Amino acid sequence: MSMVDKATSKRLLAVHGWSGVILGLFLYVVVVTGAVAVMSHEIGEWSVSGAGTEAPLNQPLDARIRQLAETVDPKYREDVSIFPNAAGTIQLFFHTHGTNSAGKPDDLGVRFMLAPKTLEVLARDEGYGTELPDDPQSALDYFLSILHISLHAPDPVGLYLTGLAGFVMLAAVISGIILHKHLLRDLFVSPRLSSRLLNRRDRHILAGSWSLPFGFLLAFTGTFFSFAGAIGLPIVAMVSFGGDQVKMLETLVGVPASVNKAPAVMANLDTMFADASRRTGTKPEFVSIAHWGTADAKVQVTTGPVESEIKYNNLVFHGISGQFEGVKPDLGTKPSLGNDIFGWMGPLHFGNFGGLLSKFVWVMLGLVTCYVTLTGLRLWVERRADDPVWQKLSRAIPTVGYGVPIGMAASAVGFLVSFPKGDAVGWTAGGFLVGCAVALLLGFVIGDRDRLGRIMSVLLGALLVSLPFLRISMGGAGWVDLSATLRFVPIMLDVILFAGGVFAIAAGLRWQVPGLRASQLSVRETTAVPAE
Amino acid sequence: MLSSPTTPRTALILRWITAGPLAIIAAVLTMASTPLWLPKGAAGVDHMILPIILFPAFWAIFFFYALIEARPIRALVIFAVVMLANAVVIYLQF
Repeated sequence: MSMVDKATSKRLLAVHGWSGVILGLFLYVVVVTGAVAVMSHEIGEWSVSGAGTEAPLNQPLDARIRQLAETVDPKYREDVSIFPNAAGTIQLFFHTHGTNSAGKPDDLGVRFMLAPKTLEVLARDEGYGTELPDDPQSALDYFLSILHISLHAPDPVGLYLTGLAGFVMLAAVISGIILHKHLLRDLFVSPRLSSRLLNRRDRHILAGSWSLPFGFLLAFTGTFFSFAGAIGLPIVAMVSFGGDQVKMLETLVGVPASVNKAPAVMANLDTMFADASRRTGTKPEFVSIAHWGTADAKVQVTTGPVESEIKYNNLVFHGISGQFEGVKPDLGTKPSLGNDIFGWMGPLHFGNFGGLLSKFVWVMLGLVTCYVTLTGLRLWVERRADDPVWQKLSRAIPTVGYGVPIGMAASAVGFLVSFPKGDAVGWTAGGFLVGCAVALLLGFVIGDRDRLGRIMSVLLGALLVSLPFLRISMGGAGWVDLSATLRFVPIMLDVILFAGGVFAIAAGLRWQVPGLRASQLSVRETTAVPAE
Repeated sequence: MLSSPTTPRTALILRWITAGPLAIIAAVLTMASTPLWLPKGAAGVDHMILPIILFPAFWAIFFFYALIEARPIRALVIFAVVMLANAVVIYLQF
């Protein structure tokens, strides 16, 4: 039984359908890049054949950090950020705060890149945080993450665009819930085999019904992440702090009103990091040191979620005594409802609260959402099989549907080929553009939609299958070396890429719904499909 | 006035206006005014972070109200009242 009357139901159906038709492919781009970005850390690890050390922040760092602190301008020692990239390289950023060339608040200082284990300085760069050179070791995972976050569009246009995708998804999910007359039954619908169109419709409904709660979660948290920085913070800062975003962020984070800046010797950082690991049972992932070398220095060590918890932990140590002072909320200095809800937003969007298992679940649910988006579009155009305008759109579905994954796989090719030569940042983006251009060209040249889809599927599969071999042939570690050093993530992704590639090739060569007879594969014989 | 008949075309235009630009403007104004009346909470941050987190929900409420309301003219009036009330709350802050 529908929750609304017939006229409202008709309006909601129009919104559900037309928003999907107009913005469905755009929504698909955001969701499919997001499904891949969930594994960005693992992709980064795969791209450089594993991290150089398993727990980068648990190796002896203290002496090296002290030594490098003496080499930077004292004004840059106000704050220090320390975190590893996927290769295990430590980024050590001594900085103060200023306004960058775009007129935005930014960190200003010196960043060192330290090799895992040896802690050799690989690079030293000075400037504003957002204007420093990109890290070549993170080129692939960073490219894929930003592709999802802002589509590489300028700030804040990119965030507005992905926020718009969040609104579209939210509208589609909520209208889908309201319109569902038989939600429980649809959760267990068995796809009919009497015709291809009915089969597709049933599978769309089945996948859509199961992915509704996940779709709502993704849309809500994604819209928050897109609009929080681009709209939310400036507006709330305007009404609460006269537009001073720095002051608002300091209040949100809980910066103390006054700081004793008397010089003092920092306690041993390695001991504090080890203490954080011992208390939580997880590895430190990010360290932030405030007021380095002063009496009020604070060391905040962020570790992954503990056992069944979802949120990350911020353990605070006194920088001079090294004493553990407690767990600090992300926002404010005391536990609060706002901090709790804020703390859930990231893990629920990124799926990183339960290690690889939760990430795999998020990737699969993301792919199901992609499937629902594309099959919804395909059903729409197949119901209009006699309209030439809609048939042109029907070619856009495989073009974009396969084109974006082809572009992402090609970006990995670009990275792997160029990384040994040191120009990975440019070639990763270049590979993506070449992959998308090839997909677009095929979309224009091949007139038959089904043939186009099959060729694209084979092309995607060939690219995916080639990636593990390309990684190893370009100097990456082989499986024997990786196994010997317990670096299993690259092996796991090699297997997933190879298996996914074989599946895509097989699907492209002979895709057919099991159980359907050839005589039932005609679309036109099944035009009498309900509009829902 | 609220019960005065509207032509289907006028109703459609009103729905486009209320569900489109007005839903976004009303959501932004609600987010902007909420920190001024919401309790600060134990850590003094709830009134700032909750409106930002709830922004998508504000938009969804206004968007679907504009679609579900049987009389679009009434939706327009309610949107105007909501936006005016929020604007007054923000104005009183300065």
